[in-house]
Amino acid sequence: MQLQESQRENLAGEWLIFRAGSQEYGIRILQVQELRGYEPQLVTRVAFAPPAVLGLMNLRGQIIPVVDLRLKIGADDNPTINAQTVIMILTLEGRMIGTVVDGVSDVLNLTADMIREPPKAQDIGSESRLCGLVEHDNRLIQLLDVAGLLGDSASQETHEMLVAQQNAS
Amino acid sequence: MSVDLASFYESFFDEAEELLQVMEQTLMDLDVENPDREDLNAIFRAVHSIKGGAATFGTFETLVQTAHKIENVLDAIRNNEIPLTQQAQNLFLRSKDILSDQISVYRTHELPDETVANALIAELEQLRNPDQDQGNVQVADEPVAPVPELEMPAADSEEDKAEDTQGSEGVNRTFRIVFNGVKAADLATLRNELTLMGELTEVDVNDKQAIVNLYCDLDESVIRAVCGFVINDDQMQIEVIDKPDVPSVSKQQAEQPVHQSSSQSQQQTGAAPATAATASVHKTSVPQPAPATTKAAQSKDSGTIRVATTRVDILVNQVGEVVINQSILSQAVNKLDPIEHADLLQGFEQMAAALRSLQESIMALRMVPIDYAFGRYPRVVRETAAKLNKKIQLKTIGGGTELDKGLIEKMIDPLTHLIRNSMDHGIEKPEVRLAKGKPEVGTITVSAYQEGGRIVIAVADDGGGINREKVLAKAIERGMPVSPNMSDNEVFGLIFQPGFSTAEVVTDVSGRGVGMDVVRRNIQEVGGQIRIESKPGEGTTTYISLPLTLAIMDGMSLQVAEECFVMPLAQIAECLRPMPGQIHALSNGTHVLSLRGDHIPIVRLARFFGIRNAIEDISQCILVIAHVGSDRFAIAVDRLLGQHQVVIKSLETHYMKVRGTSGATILGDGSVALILDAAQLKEYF
Repeated sequence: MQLQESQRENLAGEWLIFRAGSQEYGIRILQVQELRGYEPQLVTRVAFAPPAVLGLMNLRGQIIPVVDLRLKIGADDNPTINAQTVIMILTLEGRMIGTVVDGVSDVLNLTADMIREPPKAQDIGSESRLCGLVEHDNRLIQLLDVAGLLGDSASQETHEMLVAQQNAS
Repeated sequence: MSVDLASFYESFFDEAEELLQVMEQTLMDLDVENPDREDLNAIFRAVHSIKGGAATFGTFETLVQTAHKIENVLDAIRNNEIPLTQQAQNLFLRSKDILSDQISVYRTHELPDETVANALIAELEQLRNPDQDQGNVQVADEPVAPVPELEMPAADSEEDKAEDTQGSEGVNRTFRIVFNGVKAADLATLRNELTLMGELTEVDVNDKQAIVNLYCDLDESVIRAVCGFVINDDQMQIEVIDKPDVPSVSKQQAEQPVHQSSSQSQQQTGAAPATAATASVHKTSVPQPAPATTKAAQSKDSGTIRVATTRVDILVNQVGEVVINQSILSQAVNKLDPIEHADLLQGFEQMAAALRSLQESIMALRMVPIDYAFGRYPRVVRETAAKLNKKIQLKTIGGGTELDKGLIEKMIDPLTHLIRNSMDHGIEKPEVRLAKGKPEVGTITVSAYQEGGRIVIAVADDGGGINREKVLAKAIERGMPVSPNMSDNEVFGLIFQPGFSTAEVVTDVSGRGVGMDVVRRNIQEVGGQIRIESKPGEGTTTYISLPLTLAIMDGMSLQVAEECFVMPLAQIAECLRPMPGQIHALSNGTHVLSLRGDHIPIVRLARFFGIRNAIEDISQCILVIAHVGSDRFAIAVDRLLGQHQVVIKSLETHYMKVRGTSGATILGDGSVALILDAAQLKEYF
């Protein structure tokens, strides 16, 4: 099925391709501020956090949360850490967040005609998180809308979870 | 070169508001019966500077007119043409408010209400010529010359040494001017004025003394008179040091007429450091401003500059980052062989020292004298005293004590409250005071001083003191757990309990909305503490102890399993390892610690934060006794790591608030540690 022309035009541009579990995903490159190797000892565990939040890290004096994106998008229920594991530092609506993935591969410049609509029913959670599919070199790349994933919902969601936890205890 | 005047507006407004603050303060200090000539001069200067600044822009007509009129009347008073009366003082205070309003209106790009200004001008005119009627308002419309910089009272030049200066006008000479004991702010003003007169070079400037050379074609009396505008005559010595041993290149440049092209003045700036390097007498020369720059620009580029606080904050953060990187590096460097890498280690040590002083200097940027806050209280006292029909004077001590600007701003309201409290409930009515054999006029003393790593602000009154018995009775009435054996400190601490209005306790005068609990909360929010001392019949003193800065605090780092936390030192009463038998298990699974006859609850940090692998047996833990107000509780942790200063960072910038913490900080190894907040941990019970 084809996306509307205007929607596809909006999705065109450069995407950073990363691995999470056995799948490949894309994220808009403008949302990625930088990449860093993942050093678990530099992430401080934080209490009362949602399960995917690994903790807090110091990014040049700023204290930012680190989320395991593999857990968050359900790509890998039992994520592991190795030399390729990286933190993608994303900037979403002025907030910075570190997201842990299994590795980044390349940057693709996608044109509107390469992007297809994702199937309605899918494994990785609510539809709003997946905004398109791309086939490239016989690989299937899922384009993620992280603004929806972490920006709007996450802060709201985590806040609600926090409130719920506080009420429970 | 075109100059966008609008870009100077903001700094003019800021400057004008500061000047108005000075004006108000000086007016309040003024002794109406016997006004100090210096004070009158200071007020005059403030208004004059505002008028001058405003006239430069040409767009603030109403402000210029108003200021001009005020200035005229002030000048008349200064020259004893008309007497200073209480009425005049009040009128000037009102004038200050009107000028302030006008500036606020101009800030919003609107024009101020001229009728208000005209009414004030008429009143001022009335004051100046009480015999004449309104017909003379015309005088107010006389054209205002744009800032005659050299206008000065002729009287000031009488003490000049005439023999030195006779007939020398028009000949270029170098004067050596020595200023003694001149305040930095005044020095900046002097520097401004002198730069306008000729080529100014600074020979030596330190805390006590400033020596400058001025190369100009003016008479000594002129210099003296201009400086006399700012400082006392006995604070300066002027001598002619013609043909100074200045290198020829510099001399040649100095002979350039004052109106140099901007390119020439740039050359001069460039040449100056080289000159300074060869001749120690002739230090950095102050370049003549390019002709196109306005007066506003000139007055800005000496002494002080205005910088947005956000920029300073960024600087503070960045230097904090460098310090952290440095400590990470130092851990790596210290593993090196000290003999093989002696050069590296020594260089590293020097860099670390330089970094520390850099950090200190940058932290100092945020510091301002506490006069910033104190300056507004004379008026509060004056007006409140009038309302209460009491006679009260305010004394301020240690206004020069420096404190973080953000901190001072947060202290303004609590201090206002404390001062009002003292006036309302502390100081007695004049007749009562006389009956008690006290002076009729009550005194409130606000002082600030440094004590260790903290700043103490004390608000003292010589009023009736707090009635201990009444406080206790009130507490019993409210069902609070009190006993007659409580120390004074504990009893007075009750006043800070929510709903415990001082008005109900000490006097029958109604309360003022904000209670002392709000004052205490405001102070605790910035890491401060508050304490009351009171003696019946002699008065009450409230002490506020504050950290030097908001951004940095003293903390104790604690460890639970593998996790590290920081607890503000201000919240810790003591730390101890419990003795067997000190800990009692309660039936609900919690524990209490018996400490010197008290039973205080224990919070296990590992349980609170859900940390695994922590020490299970409480008797093996370290207990940190935290206090929140008068409540105490113990926090069980595995180990104490040490005490250090930490930079406080908000978690909410990128994440969200975490329960039980007030933020986070970055430790020496670059990792993040949460800062515990005793008040929130206490909620856990």
